[in-house]
Formats: sequence, C-alpha cells, structure tokens
Amino acid sequence: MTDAPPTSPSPHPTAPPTALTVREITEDDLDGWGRAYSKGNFVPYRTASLERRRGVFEPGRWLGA
Amino acid sequence: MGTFRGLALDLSVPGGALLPVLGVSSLAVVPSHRRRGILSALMAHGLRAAVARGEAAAVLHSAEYPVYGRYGFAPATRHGGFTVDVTASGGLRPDLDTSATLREAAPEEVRRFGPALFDEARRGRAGAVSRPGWSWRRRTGAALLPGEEWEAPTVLVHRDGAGEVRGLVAYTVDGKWSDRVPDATLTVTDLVATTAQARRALWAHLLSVDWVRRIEVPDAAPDDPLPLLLRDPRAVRPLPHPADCLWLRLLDLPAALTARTYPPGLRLALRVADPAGHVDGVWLLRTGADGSAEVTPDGGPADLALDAAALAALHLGGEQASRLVAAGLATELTPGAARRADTLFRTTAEP
Repeated sequence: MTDAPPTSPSPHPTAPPTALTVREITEDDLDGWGRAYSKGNFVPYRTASLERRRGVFEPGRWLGA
Repeated sequence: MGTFRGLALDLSVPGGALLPVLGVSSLAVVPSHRRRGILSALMAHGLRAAVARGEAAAVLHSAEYPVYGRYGFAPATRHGGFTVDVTASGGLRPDLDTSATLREAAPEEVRRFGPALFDEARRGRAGAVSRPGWSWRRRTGAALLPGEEWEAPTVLVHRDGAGEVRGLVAYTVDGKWSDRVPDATLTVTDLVATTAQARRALWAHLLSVDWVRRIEVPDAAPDDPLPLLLRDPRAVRPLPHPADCLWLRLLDLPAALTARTYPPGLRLALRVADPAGHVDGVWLLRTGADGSAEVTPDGGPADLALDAAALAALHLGGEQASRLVAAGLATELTPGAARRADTLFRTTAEP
C-alpha cells in the first residue's frame, strides 16, 4: 500500500517528497525488518533476534517502509 | 528503511473498563533516510489500520518528547518510581495490621496466576496497559531478548484467608557491602496487589529483608500510598524519571470517551481539531446519573476547543483542562468550561 507524502508539520526541514511505500510485512521480511530496526536504533543486529521475532510475529501488525 | 510494530493491547480507564488499544512499538527509521516523512507515513498507516480493527486509541512510550504530539499523542500518565531509605523510614506504622503468610512462588506459578492477578489489580488504576503472554514469559525468565541476562528475582505471594492470591512482589538484592557492613539495595521488579492488606503485608516483608539499606521501586503509581504507611514518609524520595510515562492518542472518540466513568449530570461540548481526521469535530458529552456517558457528534456551539493531543492528555484524568487553557493548549469558548471539564475528567486515583 502506498501512502501519500506526509502533511504533518515537522520541527525539522524535510527532504523533497519521494515515492514512499508502506506495507504490512511477511515473515520472509523479518530479517530485513530487524536489520532496519537495529540500524534505526543504533544497536547491533543479532541474528538470534530473528527466531524470537518469528515467535511473536503477527501478520498485519508489522509494517515496513 | 523504516519499521513499525503494532501490539494488540488494552488500557484500563477510569471506572475499571478495559479499552482495546494499539500499542505502537519498534518505530525506527534508518539514519540515512530521516527527515523524509517515513515516520509520518508509518504512523498514518498504522493508525488507520488500528481504526479498521476497532482499536479505540493508541499508546506508546516516547523516547523523545517533541516527536509524537504532531500525531495526536500526549502524555496521559506520569512516572512515579521512588527510593526508600529503610533505616530512616522506621518501618511501617505500628498501628497497621501486617499479619500475613507470604510464600515464595516459582516462575511457572507466577505465569499461571500472575496475569489474572495483574488484570484485576489494574482495573483500579487507569492507565495500566495489559501484559501480553510474552511479557510474563520474559518477566519469569522463560523468554529473554537476545543478549539479555537473567537474574532470577525472589517472588513472594500473599494469599487471603480463603487462599486466594491477592498480591505478589518480585525483587532482587545486590548484596553490596560498604566499610565492612551490609549496604545492599533491594530493587522491586514487580509489585501487584488487589487489596490494601496484601500491599501492606508485602511492604512489611520488603522493609525487613536483612542487609538491605535502601529499596528502589522504578515503576510505581505517582500517588502510591507507601509514604503514608511509613513512620517517616520523608524516607521516600522520587527517582529522577522523565515526567511523562504513557502517551495516548484517541482514535474512536465515542468509544474512548464512553468507556470511562464520570461524575453524574454534566454536559460539555468539545471542539476537537485533528488534522488526521480521526477525532475531528464538535462532540457533545453528557453524563448520566450512573456515571456513564453519551457522546454524540454535535452541530451546535462548543464549550471548549482543543486538539486531539490535548484531549488525550485529559482522558485518563492525569491532566487538567484549566492547566491546558493556562498553557494555551485549550481555549474556553463559554465561561467556566475549563472548570467544568476539570470536574468531568478528574479521577480519584492518579492514572
């Protein structure tokens, strides 16, 4: 599913809008999702976290952009 | 480039009802792609999906204060952790009945009775979020995060005269010594009680643990009665938490506002601004003699104007409309509206 560029005011200058896709991820996306999450939070990615995420994954409730 | 996880949770509201809510978690954008609207797009998608599932509100814990107000979130509860200087406290007041038998509980027992005990206890305190099964497994060492170290806490259980579990406390003790004398800190990792008697009995135990000079309670209600149970309430010092705890965003205004209870016989028309559209409009809130409320869209003049975030701040009773008006976050459209809103949303126990 594609979302329109954000319209909410931001306290920071924003880059020019680009096409942005937000979608519900599948179990196959969990590894990439976990890597993006770790990078975004400045924490090392642990391969062991993939198995834990598989255990709590709920389709429809996990999104990726 | 960005991640979002939506948990299926419920939130206790004033009056004891449980409101289905979206728990916003794992929001992240990789550093190379920030300031491009990815967070906004994830949030917009996640909130729309929550509305479609019938979740009446969303909650989160905010790492940084300025980020989430623009999405309609506001702090709705406050942190209330504290430290007790055990020696200075003098123990519990001598007039209190603390007679009880406490028994140690194994992790599997806690997983069995803990969820029901917690759910009963949190109905008496607005702003408490449900603990999913994985949360109990993690608390009891059965499922840890990668790299997480597990120090098994001591868990004691209080039962009433009929044998029903009425409270539990979990804690660790660091076993520290200073200058050749015990100087240990006891950290309470969980304290749940459904009766005042159970709470007193658990505290009587905590204050009597050998070698412990101070007790840290990182998570507690801001108006926890513990100081008043002690001979010297000055022995309790607040921990240096950020002021805000749970952030709330209303999504289905009639469902959220009618889930809680109010003082009887009041009427207030709210003009709510919400650029995302979820709760935008004029809403008439009328309370019945039994404390229930009726909320309907209204075309008439409003009494109080505020945005979605300001309304979320009021919803659990942790903020005052008159304070929001003083801060320019709400506007009185009819004289006395803020005071009426204060009376309407105020709660006995702080959320």
